[in-house]
Amino acid sequence: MSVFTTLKNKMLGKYSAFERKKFLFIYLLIAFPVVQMLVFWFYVNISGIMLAFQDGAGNWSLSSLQEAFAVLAGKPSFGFDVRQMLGKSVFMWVLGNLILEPIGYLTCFILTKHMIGSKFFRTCMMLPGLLGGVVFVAIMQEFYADDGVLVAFSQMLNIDLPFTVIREGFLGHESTAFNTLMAQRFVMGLGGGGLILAGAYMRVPVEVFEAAKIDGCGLFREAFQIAIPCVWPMICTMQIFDLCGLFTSDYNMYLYSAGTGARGMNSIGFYTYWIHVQVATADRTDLYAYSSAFGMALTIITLPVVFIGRWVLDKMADSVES
Amino acid sequence: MFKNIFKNAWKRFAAFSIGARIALVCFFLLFLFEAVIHLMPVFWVVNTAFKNSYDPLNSFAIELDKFTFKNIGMVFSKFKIMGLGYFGMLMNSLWTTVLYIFVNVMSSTLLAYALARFRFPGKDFLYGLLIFIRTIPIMSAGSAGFKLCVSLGMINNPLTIWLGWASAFDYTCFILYGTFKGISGTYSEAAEIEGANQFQILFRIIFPQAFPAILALAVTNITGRWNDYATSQIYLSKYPNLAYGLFQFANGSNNAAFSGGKLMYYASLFCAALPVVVIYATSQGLILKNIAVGGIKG
Repeated sequence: MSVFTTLKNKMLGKYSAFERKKFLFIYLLIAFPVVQMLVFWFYVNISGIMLAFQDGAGNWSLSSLQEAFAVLAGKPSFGFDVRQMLGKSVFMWVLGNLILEPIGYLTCFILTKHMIGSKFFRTCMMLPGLLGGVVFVAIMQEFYADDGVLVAFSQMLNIDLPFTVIREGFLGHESTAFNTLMAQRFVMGLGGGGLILAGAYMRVPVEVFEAAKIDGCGLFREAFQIAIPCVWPMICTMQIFDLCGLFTSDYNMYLYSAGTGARGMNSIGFYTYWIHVQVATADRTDLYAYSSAFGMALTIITLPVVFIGRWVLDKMADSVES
Repeated sequence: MFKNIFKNAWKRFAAFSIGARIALVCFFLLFLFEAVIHLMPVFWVVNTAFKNSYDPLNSFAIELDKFTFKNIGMVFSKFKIMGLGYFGMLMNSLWTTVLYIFVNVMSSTLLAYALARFRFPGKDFLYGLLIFIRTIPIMSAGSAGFKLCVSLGMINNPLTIWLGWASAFDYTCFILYGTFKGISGTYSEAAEIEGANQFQILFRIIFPQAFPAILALAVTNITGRWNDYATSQIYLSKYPNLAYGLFQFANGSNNAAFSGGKLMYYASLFCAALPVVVIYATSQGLILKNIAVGGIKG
């Protein structure tokens, strides 16, 4: 018997002809997705890992990886201070995921279950996402510009603006650009307009809330002791996904800085995309290895954070369960 | 209709204690503030796009005597990036969005259906792989992916670029897995007893039940794809979409395009965003009802 026949008998021997026919249908269904994954995920990741252990000329070497860690530790790279970018990325992640998102659990609940006009409010709050990075950033750039409406109104109301803002707008100088974007992120992120969370709150059976109300449960107890625990598994799933994006989200820094990272508008997400653009559009094939090595260095940093985060979330899920 | 909405809202509001009512009023003010903050810049741009002159101090005022469609007309006649007009970029946005969503959602649907509804050798491994891919970030693949696309001749090639978009092991599959799990097996079992084959069960019984969720996912994916400038910049630079065209325009690397000035620029932003905002605003209910990730207790 050939190896193939032995393997086939071992794997499928215990199944009836009807089930085998079913398997044929299933494997037909998954054939394309699996082959696509093998080529565009498995092969690409393996080849990315191998590239990380090569130098710019394609020889096996640890130099690219060493360079990546040196850059993360503070060595200037293409005129960027990547260590500073690392700090900014962590700050942005903390602001978005540890401050705004938990506030959003409450505000989203109130908006979904107890607010008149919730569809209108949610559509307004979804606008940045709907307009997309390019359009939203273009609008905000115009809004913050020296001849834009924010400067004009501030002057009309006699608000004392720094000279740099009057001359170059809010995003025109390093001293105000990043802070302006972070203030914008905070102010625009308070509403909790997330659709997936709202959908989850909507699916919690109404009877649960009605029973709680009959028992004299108030608004905040309803939120913290019923609604949020009910959707907790979903919150954990979302938080795990967010953990993976620790260094990938760049809050449109690439767009705000017109692809230059200037005036302090940069982050790790910006830097990785910037290198990728250099590889693709400036034909810098010598950067293939460095780009992969930098990604590998970020993976090495992120993995323990993801595992610790998952462990903490599991523990929290257990305590909510009990 | 509005009278009933307000009546019901007041009834629910009055049922709360004084403290809770004060809190709800505070939350209402917060949401109002958020709505104003989000709408203000957008309203400013849209309002200015339909005016015949630019004045920052009067940009919030609706001045009917200055109202004009001239800027919208200019967008379609003068706006050019890399030799391509606005309409051409609009068409590029359209075909990339439709193709991406079709191949991505179809591929995810097939995998999610197989994983959620059948037991077969290798199922647990594939499900584990789906979780692994979604939760373990490997960030060294960007350049390798580009290198592969170059070697497969996929760069600037609409006939093959979709192969990279047809990824099934993604968020869409994760959500559809939950959807297929939630569909009762009674109908498909009955159909199986009546002699229906697996394809008939899939296309006539399961798909119609899962269709609202698939449609909701397609709608949520539209926003991301329509506004995606990175794919155009890196993989399809000869087929610039609206997002990439506007990015180039904003950076002033195409000075000829600026001959239309700020008003035309604002009108181009309005035209680019309008389709997605309309689609989202009309399908919010569909998305809310049909998309869930993770579990819900209760």
